[in-house]
Amino acid sequence: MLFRDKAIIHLESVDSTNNYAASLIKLSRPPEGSVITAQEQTAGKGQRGALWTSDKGENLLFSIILYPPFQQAEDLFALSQCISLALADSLTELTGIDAWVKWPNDIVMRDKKVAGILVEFAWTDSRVQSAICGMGVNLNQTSFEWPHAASLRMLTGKTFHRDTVLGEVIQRIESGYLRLRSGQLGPIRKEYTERLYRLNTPTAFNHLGSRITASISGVSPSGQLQLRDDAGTLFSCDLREISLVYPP
Amino acid sequence: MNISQIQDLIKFVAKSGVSEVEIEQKDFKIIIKTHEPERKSKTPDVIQVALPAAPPLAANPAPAPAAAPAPAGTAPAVAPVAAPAGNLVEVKSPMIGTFYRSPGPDKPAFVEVGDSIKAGDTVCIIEAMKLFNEIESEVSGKIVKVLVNDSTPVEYDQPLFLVEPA
Repeated sequence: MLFRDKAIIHLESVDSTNNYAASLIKLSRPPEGSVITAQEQTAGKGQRGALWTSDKGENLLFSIILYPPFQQAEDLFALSQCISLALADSLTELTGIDAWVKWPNDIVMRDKKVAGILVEFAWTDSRVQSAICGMGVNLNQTSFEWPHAASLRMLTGKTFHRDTVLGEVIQRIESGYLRLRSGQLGPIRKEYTERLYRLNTPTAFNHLGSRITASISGVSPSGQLQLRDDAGTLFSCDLREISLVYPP
Repeated sequence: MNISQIQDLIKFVAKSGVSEVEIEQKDFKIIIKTHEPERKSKTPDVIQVALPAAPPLAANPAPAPAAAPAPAGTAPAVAPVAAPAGNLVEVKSPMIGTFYRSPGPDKPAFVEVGDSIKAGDTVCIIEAMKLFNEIESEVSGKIVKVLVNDSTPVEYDQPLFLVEPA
């Protein structure tokens, strides 16, 4: 077992589990694989400047601490891919419903977002010192302001226990991380591509200010989305250049 | 192939140890040659980029973005930059991405000119593909200059800050 000495810290309320993990690393550098969960985040982080909101106690909110010194700048996206795959595979296993990765790292089931990931690396001297992988999984919350979000309960009618889901996800992160550490980037990228939401399916996107239809064909090693337009022309996009139009 | 893919390719070639790579697509051809390590020349050989309506590779008047002679383990700098004056230390970007001076849009900057910092203090964030990279200073000292504007793209190895070591 890779994360044998890990600590699991359950908090009732915290600003963000990622922030807590960052402070903990500076204070005591906890063993690799250590996990911080919270019932509630008062300033949960989504994408830059965006908040991740969640009803207290209804969902799984946690961060896992990794120290990947082998991680090269050009392969950063592979860690994100491992985490996305671990989450998607876990949720598929637990619900029997296919979970897909909406590029770059949201988890979607039945066209609804059920989980999000936020990875933060710390660098010194051009080397990765730590990676904090934060995840929010909608478990039992029954309503969301955003119409394209859902919980596992809304999709299955069942309630989910936080620790069951956490155990499943950590186990899969552990094996994914082991593969990453041994340099198996090819299989990771292949599996991630096969898990991509709307892969090879004509889909509406906002692309540089205009509405287009294109099909996702894959992702480059650095994480750019690769697409094929109506005319069959291949092109690739950065995160700022393209976004999927909901509902697809 | 866009600029960032070309940069990725140059880095990949430089690191891989091969001496020449040629890629030809429909309306695009690129040949990247690396020098033998014993040759000292810093001049890059990025030859024959035949791309209709090609965007400029990098907006600077210097000879070129560099496929440097690839000593083991180091990737070429894309933007050539003069060495810092005196004993100032540069904090450089470890990757291609977007440079942010603060932890969030409505938050104060991590550091300002004149601030004293300790080794390990976060000085900025570089974001790439929704991955957030906190860059920590390697040295203790004082911030002398911020070299990049907030929310702008940065290249691999681009100097971000000048620090006067304590």
